[in-house]
Amino acid sequence: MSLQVSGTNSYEIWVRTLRAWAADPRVSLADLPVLQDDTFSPGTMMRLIEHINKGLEAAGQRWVDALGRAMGSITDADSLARELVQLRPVLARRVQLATHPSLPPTLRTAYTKNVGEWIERQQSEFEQMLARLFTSGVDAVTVDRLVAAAKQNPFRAVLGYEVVQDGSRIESQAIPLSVRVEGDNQPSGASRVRSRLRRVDPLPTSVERNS
Amino acid sequence: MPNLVETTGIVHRYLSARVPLIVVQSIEPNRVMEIIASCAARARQMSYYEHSRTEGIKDLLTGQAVSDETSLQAALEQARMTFKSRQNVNFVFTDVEGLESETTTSRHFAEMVRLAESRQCTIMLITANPVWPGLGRLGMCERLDLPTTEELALTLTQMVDDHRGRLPIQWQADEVRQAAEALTGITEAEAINVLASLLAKGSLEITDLAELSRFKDRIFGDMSGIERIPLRGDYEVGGLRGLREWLEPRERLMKMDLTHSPLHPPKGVLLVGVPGCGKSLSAKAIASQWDLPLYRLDMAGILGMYVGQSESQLREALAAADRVAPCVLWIDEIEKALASGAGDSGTSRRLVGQFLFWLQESTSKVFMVATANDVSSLPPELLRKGRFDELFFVDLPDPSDREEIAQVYFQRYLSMDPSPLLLKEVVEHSDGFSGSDIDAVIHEIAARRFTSAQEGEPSDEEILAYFDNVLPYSQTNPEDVAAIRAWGESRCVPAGSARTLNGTFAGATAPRRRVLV
Repeated sequence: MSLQVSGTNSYEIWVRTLRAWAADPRVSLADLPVLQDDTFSPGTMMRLIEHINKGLEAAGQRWVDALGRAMGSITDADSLARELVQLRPVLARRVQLATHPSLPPTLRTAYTKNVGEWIERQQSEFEQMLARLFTSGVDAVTVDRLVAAAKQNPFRAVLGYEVVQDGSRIESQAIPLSVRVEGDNQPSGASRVRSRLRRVDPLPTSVERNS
Repeated sequence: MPNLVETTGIVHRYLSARVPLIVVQSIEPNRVMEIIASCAARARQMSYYEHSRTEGIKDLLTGQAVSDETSLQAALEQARMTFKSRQNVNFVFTDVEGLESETTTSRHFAEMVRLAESRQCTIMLITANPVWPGLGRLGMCERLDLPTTEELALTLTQMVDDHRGRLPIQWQADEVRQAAEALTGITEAEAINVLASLLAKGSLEITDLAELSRFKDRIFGDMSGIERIPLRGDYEVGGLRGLREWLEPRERLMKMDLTHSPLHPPKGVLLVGVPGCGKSLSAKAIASQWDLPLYRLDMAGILGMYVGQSESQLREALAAADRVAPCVLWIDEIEKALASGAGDSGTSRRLVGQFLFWLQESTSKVFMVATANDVSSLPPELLRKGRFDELFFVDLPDPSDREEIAQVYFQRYLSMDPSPLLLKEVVEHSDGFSGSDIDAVIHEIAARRFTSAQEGEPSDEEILAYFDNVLPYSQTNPEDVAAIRAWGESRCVPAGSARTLNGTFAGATAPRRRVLV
């Protein structure tokens, strides 16, 4: 279910929508009017940027809060990994706004770059926080596993998500159904056997040099 | 033991039945993937994806990567989304940790299986260990055992044939079959590694067969319950002609392909007799002469302090012996664990039962050489016909055996060929000596000469003086020797010449095997 906000002009629609979205990310951003770099006067654009920043901060804070709650319930590296993956849709909201296609091109470029850097910074700080658990009594092996889980399930994966703007949950994609050509490079059981058998070739007698 | 073909058939049926979880337990994930790929090729109307921590998610049929994320959790998330988007999708997960018990991962998989079931999808797990019952009961579990000898022979044949014409290869079907038998008990990947290592030297010769057991030994390393005994090439058993003659055809039987024959490989022998007369040496000599690895099962060592521990350890040891077959299994002083007696809460009876069951049922080429000193306590059912192939009595060596034994040790320790006269005198002066007594005396002579830096051969008088100074076991414990001989006379075949026994057992005929029922 997505929620829509109406307004009388582009600025009003943007501001009302951003406020509503900051409070509830299920609000659709699909109908935001397309802006150009010169759509608004510089002063109006600055005010809009403040609203956008508030929206980004709200989305980021929601994810940070959710991550904090998740950290309170993890029991091992596997549960941490699962939480990190399950929190990606929450983090993807920030990406959703930062990369919104209706943003003025210059602003969108800057926000897209900024959100990538912000996520990398969060990743780094999160890994450092996990590493510090050692000083608070968690054994070194567990700490290593937690850090490894964080590295294997990085926040940046959300940058690869296909973002939708209608307010629905942003999730990883189902694997698309591929069309296979019959008889084309399908490894049967027999060919897998053959591929495991090894051919022993004599080693070269001298080092070959490129002429 | 489900082999590759059987397991393939079963997995195919599970897939066709849209069983939501198929667990294949195996230590060879590549062979299991071969099964799944084969099943997928037969039911191509469905989608198959394979996840590994190294390559992420791939389409199983095309081999194309569909996701770069290697994380298991990310893969499960993608599987969840795919299950939700369409039906009849199959995901294969390999090297998943934490499935043996109730963990975050096993519970997560259980949730996924329930989703898969609602969408006619299937999750396949390849694991080395059994999975948590709460997960396993949501689907079907199957087990793929190590490759059979026939399967290994097929793999080796393919690999050898692939090298014919490019490398000088002497192996024909018989040699490949022997190699497969020698390597039975290891994984297919290990067998390929072994054969590739042999091929890497530039040829494949008949003599390379002997090296297979050494490779296998390196693969197994330290196994529970049995210990690999390194063999030298110089084991010589003086005397024991009866035993040696009996062993000759058994060696051929051990090395022949009995697959299409009703015959079973020889089980082994029980050597009983006077201490120091070559029982243990015989085990080493047999393994050395037959070019088979020698493993020692320490019966005293398997006895544990907890209820059931001894039985468990014996079972593990015998299973390990089956895995390393073909081999010679030396069970030293078998009576130490299997002696019948009261006061052990029936442990020894259970051990005997377990041991007899293995003797009866095992079809692997494990040639057992069991030795016993205190034979009186051995349970009669162990000595019944059909348990061991033969019971040999190893008596004190007769004069001609002593001559042969002395020659061996003179050569080994003093590098000398004694004159016929000296040998005759040594034989006279060593009456009642065991083989190990003669070994000890000649070793003592050599050690004294070595430490005092004496050169040249010792004089005949010096040698005989050493023999005269020794009081052998047969003279210090004549009652024990008499008791052992009395037992052997009635129950065993002589390991030495019948003439010896006739002479030794005064007034008795040569012992015959007596079947105890």
